[in-house]
Amino acid sequence: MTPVHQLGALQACHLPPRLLATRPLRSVRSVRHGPVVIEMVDEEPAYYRLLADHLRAAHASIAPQLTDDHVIELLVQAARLWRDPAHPRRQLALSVLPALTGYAPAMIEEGLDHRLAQLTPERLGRLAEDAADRLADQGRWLQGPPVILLVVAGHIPGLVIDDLAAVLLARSACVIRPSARDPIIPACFVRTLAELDPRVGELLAVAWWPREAEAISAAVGGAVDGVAASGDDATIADLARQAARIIGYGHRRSVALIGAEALTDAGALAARMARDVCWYEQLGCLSPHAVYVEEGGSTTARAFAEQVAVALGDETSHWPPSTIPIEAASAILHLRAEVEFRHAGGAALFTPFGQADRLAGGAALYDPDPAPRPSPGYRTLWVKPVARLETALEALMPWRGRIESIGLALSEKRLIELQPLIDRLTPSRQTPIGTMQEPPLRWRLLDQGLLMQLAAWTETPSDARF
Amino acid sequence: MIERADDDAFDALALEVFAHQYARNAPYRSFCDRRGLTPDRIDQWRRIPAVPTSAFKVAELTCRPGEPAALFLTSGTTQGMERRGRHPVADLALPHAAILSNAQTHLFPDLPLSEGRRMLILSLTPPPSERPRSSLIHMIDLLMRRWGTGESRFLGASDGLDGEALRQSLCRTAAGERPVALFGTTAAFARWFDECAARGWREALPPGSRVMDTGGRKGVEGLRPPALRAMDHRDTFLSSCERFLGLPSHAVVNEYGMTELGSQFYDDHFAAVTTGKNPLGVKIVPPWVRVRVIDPATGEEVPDGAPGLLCHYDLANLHSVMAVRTDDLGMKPPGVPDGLHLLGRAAGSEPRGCSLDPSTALLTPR
Repeated sequence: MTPVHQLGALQACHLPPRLLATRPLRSVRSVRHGPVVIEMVDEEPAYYRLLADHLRAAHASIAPQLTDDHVIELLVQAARLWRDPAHPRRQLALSVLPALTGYAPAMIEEGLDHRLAQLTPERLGRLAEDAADRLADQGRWLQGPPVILLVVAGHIPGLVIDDLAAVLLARSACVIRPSARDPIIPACFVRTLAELDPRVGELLAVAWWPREAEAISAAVGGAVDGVAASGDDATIADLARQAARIIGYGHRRSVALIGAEALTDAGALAARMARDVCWYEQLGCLSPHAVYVEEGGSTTARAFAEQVAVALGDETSHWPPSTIPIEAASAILHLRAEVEFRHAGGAALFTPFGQADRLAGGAALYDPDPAPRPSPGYRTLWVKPVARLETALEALMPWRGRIESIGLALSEKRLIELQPLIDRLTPSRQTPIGTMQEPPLRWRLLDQGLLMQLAAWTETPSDARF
Repeated sequence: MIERADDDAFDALALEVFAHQYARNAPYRSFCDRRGLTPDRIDQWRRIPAVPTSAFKVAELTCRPGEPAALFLTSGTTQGMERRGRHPVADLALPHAAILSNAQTHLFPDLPLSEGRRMLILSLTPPPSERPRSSLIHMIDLLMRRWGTGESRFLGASDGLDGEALRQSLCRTAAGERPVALFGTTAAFARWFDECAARGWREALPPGSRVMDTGGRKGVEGLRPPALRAMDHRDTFLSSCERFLGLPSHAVVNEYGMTELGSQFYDDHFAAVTTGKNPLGVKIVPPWVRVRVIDPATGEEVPDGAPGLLCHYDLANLHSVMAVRTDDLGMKPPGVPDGLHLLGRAAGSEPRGCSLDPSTALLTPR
């Protein structure tokens, strides 16, 4: 791969070729981000209205030509190209993203490969069928509105691939506003799709503008039929003011539960837990903030916390830790100190390398108080002992509705017993510990509901089917 | 008091204080032991373990357990309903000496204590009887008793500032051409200026008048946008001082202090202008205090001119913990050994799931 500092300016945009032929870009904005220079669209709000008009017209003529099978084949072909280690766009993304996100190269690569592995004919076909069945129950078709705006968060590189699958399966046209942390995969993946089928290239646009450019946000928000956005709650609230309809994936957290019976191989479980914690530095909504450990098993919760700390240390060789922003570092230091000074109450700080003041590598914060507390991130996990997991699920009730995923290490019997209490917290996903960061595509599209929501936005479902 | 330039004297005292605190402050001793940093292994003040301010929320950090001479509590308002920090002060002699010496230099350079001259001091805060656990009000009360005339008083109350009383006092002051010192939180001043703007009040305070404001963003709840602007932009605050009080900017002194410290840091400009020197535009670190600016990820000191978290070593904290790590962001200006720039607070909020604001992420070089 070419070293990142030798790459030159990177174009992080895609505009429909037919639009560019009639109205070329007047200017691009170059932004330096560390060693990377990225070129982005720099146009007035009127251009974005023109873009939305173009997408709407393209949708009317092209979308009816796209069958489910064709869309699936297109996604599969694109994924096949991108899974090839020699694919130039993959190489470009993997060379640039560590500098843009701060994540370890292997972390980005494994995350990208996980997403691409979801795009198989079988998985996509079954997903489309299930979506169609669910929608049929509502009297709707698998079909989204003509034009949407997709606002992609930057913590999860390649998340846009999931979203693009939803957009294409819904056969909507789309303006994608990528994150500044990951502007490359959206532009590059869309270019791949456009090369495979130029018609699809007319339905998709990738353009970044700053959040402060409210006139552009308002122009786009007013010109599209809906907005799907991942981001912080403030971003989504801003977008909601500008768009008629919005699906917002705001700020949520994840937690994990370990039954006493699951602690027979605590070392291996701690390693899986550490992997869930380290992936994306706990910045995503699927990242666990806390693990509740039921006492009475072959390992105590406290010993498990120690093992998690060791496992966090082991991860540093595979996934070297990111640089921690000063605000987060300050919060981590204060939290660690607080735990240390509460040792009389049973709290304890466990760090991988036994150095309480060095943050790299993370920490397990052992805390007998079952009340949940957010982690400041960057590999900082609360480990909370409970006599019974029922106590944990009760203690988590203040987070009800804000829990995205629950990682589990439980026997089937315990899971059946606990399921009603888990359901009260309304997580969108429950999954074994060790797989918390690897959601299947159907979770994003069906369980989180992106695809279902796009279909629900279609104005007149019975008439609008292509 | 030691001289600023005397690093050897500071080092010797700091190590002595550390040994004292290690021996008598049990929670602190445990903290040091866990790091293997004990008095016999430390030979200079920079290596003395510093406790984060959050430790004051969960531990009784004192060398003299029992009833303290004073117990100060943090306001606990900047991050909502969190537990309040507790700073038990076993003996007020050193903190008082620090307060008075610092105030002499930076707030009252024209009123030497030895001459016994006084001036009217009005505080926008509630009185100590209403807020006995406030270190700020304790300090203002001390200053009022040492430098204030008999008419000096506290005009704040639990339900807010008596704006009318303040205005009448300022009218009388202006008419009598006697200078006045106004003390309060930045938020209280901002709120007062908002009221002045709404009611069309403004005064031209006599020459020699001064303002001491402090407190960052504490107390901003309910502030209207104009007042919030005054809070967030120092220039706007200074313009308001000029507009509503007729004070030049050099007569507005920002104080940086905290419940967990016995000492304070002041802007240098009032003292400099009053004594005919050139202001450096920095806050001054008192001679009995040292500051390290650290990279929190490594705990290592950053070079002068680079931002980091402030870690204070305050000899006035004799009977609690001398070395305190804050979440305040600051920088040491190159070439000014006793200078400090305060850059704000590392809020330290929880990362927002799937969230960082993309626009700011792009514009911030890593």
